[in-house]
Amino acid sequence: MSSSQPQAQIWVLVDYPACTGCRLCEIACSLRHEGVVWPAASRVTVYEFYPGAPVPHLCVQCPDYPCVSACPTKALSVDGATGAVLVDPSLCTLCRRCIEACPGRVPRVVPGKPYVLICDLCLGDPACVRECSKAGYNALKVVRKPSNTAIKHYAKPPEVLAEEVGARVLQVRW
Amino acid sequence: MVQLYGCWGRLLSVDLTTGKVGEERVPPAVFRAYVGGRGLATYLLWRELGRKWREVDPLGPENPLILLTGPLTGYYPGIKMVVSGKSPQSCGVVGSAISSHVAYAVKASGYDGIVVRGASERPVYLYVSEDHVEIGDASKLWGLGGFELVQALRRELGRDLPSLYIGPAGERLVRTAAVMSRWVHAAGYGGYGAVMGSKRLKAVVVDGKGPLPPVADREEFAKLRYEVIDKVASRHTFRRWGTTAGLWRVGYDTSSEPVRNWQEEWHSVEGFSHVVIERRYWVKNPWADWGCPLACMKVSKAEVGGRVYVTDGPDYEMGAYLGSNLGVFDVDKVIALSSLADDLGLCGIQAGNVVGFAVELFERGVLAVEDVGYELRWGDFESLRRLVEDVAYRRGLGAVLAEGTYRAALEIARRKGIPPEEVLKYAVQVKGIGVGAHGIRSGKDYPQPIAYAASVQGGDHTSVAGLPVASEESEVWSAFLDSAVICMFTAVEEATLLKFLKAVTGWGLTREELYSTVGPRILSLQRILLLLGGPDARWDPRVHDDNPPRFYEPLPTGPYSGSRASADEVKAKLAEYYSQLGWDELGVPTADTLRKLGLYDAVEVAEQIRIELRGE
Amino acid sequence: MKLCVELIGNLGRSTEGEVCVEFEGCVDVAESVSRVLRALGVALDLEELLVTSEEGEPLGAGTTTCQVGRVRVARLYRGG
Repeated sequence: MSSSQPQAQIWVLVDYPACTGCRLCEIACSLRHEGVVWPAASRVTVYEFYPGAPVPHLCVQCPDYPCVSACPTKALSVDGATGAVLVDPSLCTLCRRCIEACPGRVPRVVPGKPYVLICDLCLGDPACVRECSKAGYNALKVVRKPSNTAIKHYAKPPEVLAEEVGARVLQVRW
Repeated sequence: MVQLYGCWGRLLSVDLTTGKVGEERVPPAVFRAYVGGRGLATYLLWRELGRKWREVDPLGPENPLILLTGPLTGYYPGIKMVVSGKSPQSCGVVGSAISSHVAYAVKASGYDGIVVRGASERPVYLYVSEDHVEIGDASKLWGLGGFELVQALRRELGRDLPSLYIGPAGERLVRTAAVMSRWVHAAGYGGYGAVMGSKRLKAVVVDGKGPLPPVADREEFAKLRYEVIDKVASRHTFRRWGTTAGLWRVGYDTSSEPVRNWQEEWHSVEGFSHVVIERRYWVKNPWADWGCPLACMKVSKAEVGGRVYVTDGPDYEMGAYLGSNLGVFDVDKVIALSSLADDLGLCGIQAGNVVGFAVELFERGVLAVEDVGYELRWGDFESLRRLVEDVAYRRGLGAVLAEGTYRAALEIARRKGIPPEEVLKYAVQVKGIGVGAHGIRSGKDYPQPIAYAASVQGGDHTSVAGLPVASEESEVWSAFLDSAVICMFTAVEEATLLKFLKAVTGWGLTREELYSTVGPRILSLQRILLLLGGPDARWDPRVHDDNPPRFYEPLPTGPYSGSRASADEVKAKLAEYYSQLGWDELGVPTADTLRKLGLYDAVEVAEQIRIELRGE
Repeated sequence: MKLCVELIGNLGRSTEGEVCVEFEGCVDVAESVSRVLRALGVALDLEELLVTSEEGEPLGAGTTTCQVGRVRVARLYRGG
C-alpha cells in the first residue's frame, strides 16, 4: 500500500518591500526551464515603473483557474500535487485566450517558444525562491497554498501593482 | 574556425545621417585580444579613426557613440555597460561604465553592442529588438528631464523597457553631461552625454526578447555562478550602507574627501554621513541592478524648499562632489542637488568639480557678481542649485562652466587677461577630466601618488594607475573589469574571475597574459590615442602626466594635516610605471612593446608622437 | 604560528608592504588579517578586501594560521 501523503499544494509568497528589483529570479527561472539566460522567457517578471518600487509578477494559481477553463484545446491543466498550471506544448496553439482570461495578464508569449509560458512552480521546488534566498533578499518564499480566495486578487496587471507599490514607497507621483 | 561563446560577434550599427541600420561582424580573435567593452571600444576607435584622430571633433558626426557589453555581461552577477567614443573631455578614449539593464537587453537582442554614427537633423530615439530596429521621432521627448523622460518612454512604447538617455545637459552638448539610465545611473566620465546630444539622439530603448549566447562550460558556469553569488551576498555592510558610507569614512577616516574645491580633505561633521541619511531619507534599502546579489543601492527622498527630490544613495561621488566639495553638509540638500543632477543629465562629479572651482574663484575675486549674475558662497544651496542648472542650460557663466573645469579655466583666464596657470592652479582635473572624490595626499585611501597622473582616463577615479602593474593596483585591473564588463563591487579575486571567464568563453586567459599582454595592449592603444588628442586639447606627458597643483599643497586640517603629494615620488613612480608597461621615459609605448602586443600599425604613430615631443 | 601578511598598494605604505605577526595556536586567517589591519589603523572591513593565498587563490572559509603562513591582502573597493 502506498504510504505517501499527497503533497501539499504550494504558493509563492511575494514580499514587495523586500524585493530589490535584481531580476535574479528571472535569470534563475530561465536557466532552470530553458538552460540559458533568457529573461524574456522567465515565468516570473519584475516590473519597475517607479524607482525603488519593483513588483514581481507571476501566476498566483487562482482557485478557479480561469485560464484553464478558457483554453479551447485543453492544453492547460492543473497539477494536483503542487496546484500549478501546466502547459502541454503539443496542444498549445498560442491563441492567447488564457492571457485574456487571466485577471493579471500573466501568461507570456515569447518569440522562440511555440507555447505559452506559465509558472509551473518548478513542480515543487521553485528556482526563483531558491535564488532569492541565496542572494539573501528572501522576497519570494514558498508557503502552503493559502485557502484564502483573496489570493486571486494578487493577479493584477503590472501597472496596477506598480502604481500601488510605487505610491506607497515614494508618496509622490510624476 | 574559432567558436565564440558568451558573445555574438555582432554589433548593431546605426547611421543617423542616412538613417541606415546594419550589422558589423567582430571576429572571435578580436574579442580574444581585447576582451570586449572598453578594450573593444578602443580597438574599434583606433581602427576607424586612428589615422586622423587629431582632426576628429568629438562633438561632430564623425565621432561614433559606442555602447558595448563584454563576454561576462549577463552571466557574471551584476551589470555594467560601457559607453565610449572620442571623449569631448580628454580627447582620448574613456571606457565609461554605467549600471544599466540595457546591457543584458542588447545581448538578448542578438548584439554585443551598438555603434551610432553620424547625426540626425531632428531629435530621434532608437528602438532596438532582435527582429526590429527603428529610428523614432523624439520631438515630444526632447527637452524632458530624466524622471519625466523615463515615464514618457513607457507611455510611448507601452511597456517598461530598459533605456539609455540624455537630459537637457546632453541636449546642449554640455561637456560635463552624462549618458543616463534608470533615473539615477550615469556614464559620466568622458562626457559622452554631449556626444549623444550632438547626434540629437535622446534615448536608446532596447527590448531584449531573446536568449543570451550559450556558454562554453555550462556546469562550471553554474557552479561558479553560485560561488560568486554566495561570496557577494555576504557583503552585508556594503549592502546596508552602499558607497554612501564614504561621505563619512573617506573624509573622517582617510582624509581624502574633497571639501570646498579640495582645499581640505577632512571633516568631522557627524550629520554628513550615511547614518543620518539612513535614518531620515532612505525609502528603499536595499535596491539592486540587474542580476545583482549585492544590492548596494538605495532610494532617498527629501523635501527641500517645498519641492520633493528623489535620487539614489546618493552614492559617494555624487554626495561628496555636490556636498562637502561645495561646502554643503546638510544631507537633505545634497539629496536635492544629486536629484537635480540626475534629472538634468549631468555627471555629478564633473558638475560638482566645475561648480566648486567657480565658487573658489568667486571667493578669491577672480570671478565677480557681474560674471555669475549672483553671489556664490560655500554651502549656499540656492546659489549652488542655480549654478548647477545654469551649467545644464548653458546660461550665463554656466555656458563657460559647461565646457568642464579645464576648458573653463582657460576661457576665464583669457577673458580676465590672466596667465592660464594662475587659474588652472585651482582646477582639480587631469587631462580635461575632473578628479574623482578620492584624494592622494594622505595616502590613506586607495589611489597611489601616480593614480591620476598616469591614468589613460585622466582624473577618472575608477581607472587609476598604480604599482605594481601586475596587480589590482594598476590600470590593467580597471581595464579588465571594464572590458569583461563587470561591476567592481561584485568582483572577487582575479583567479576566480579568470575561471569564470573561461567557463563562459572557453578562453584560457591566464593572469600572466592579462598583465603582460591583454591589459597593456588596451592601455597602450588608449595611451596613444590620448597623446594624439586634438582638435582642441593636446597633452604633453612632461607637463600633464601629473597631479593637479592643489595635490602638492599640504592638507590644512585633520590627522594628516601637512601631508601632500611629493613631486619626486611622483616622478620616480611614473618612471617605474612606464617601464613596467613597456613605455619609454615619456610614457610613449615603445616600438618593441607595440610589436609584442601585435599593434604593428601603431608603431609609426607612436614614433611620430615621440618625435613631436622631443622636437618641442 | 607566524602569519605574514603581504599588503598591496597604500595598505602597505607604512610597513613597506609586509607585516608578520605571531599568533598563539591556530587562529582563523580572516580574523588575523582583521586584527593586523586594526593594529595598523586601517579602517577597512574584510568584505572590502581581497584576502588570498600569495598566488592569489581564494582561501576556503575557516582556513587557519596553522594551514597557511602567508596571505596577500589587496583592496577590492577602489572608488564609489
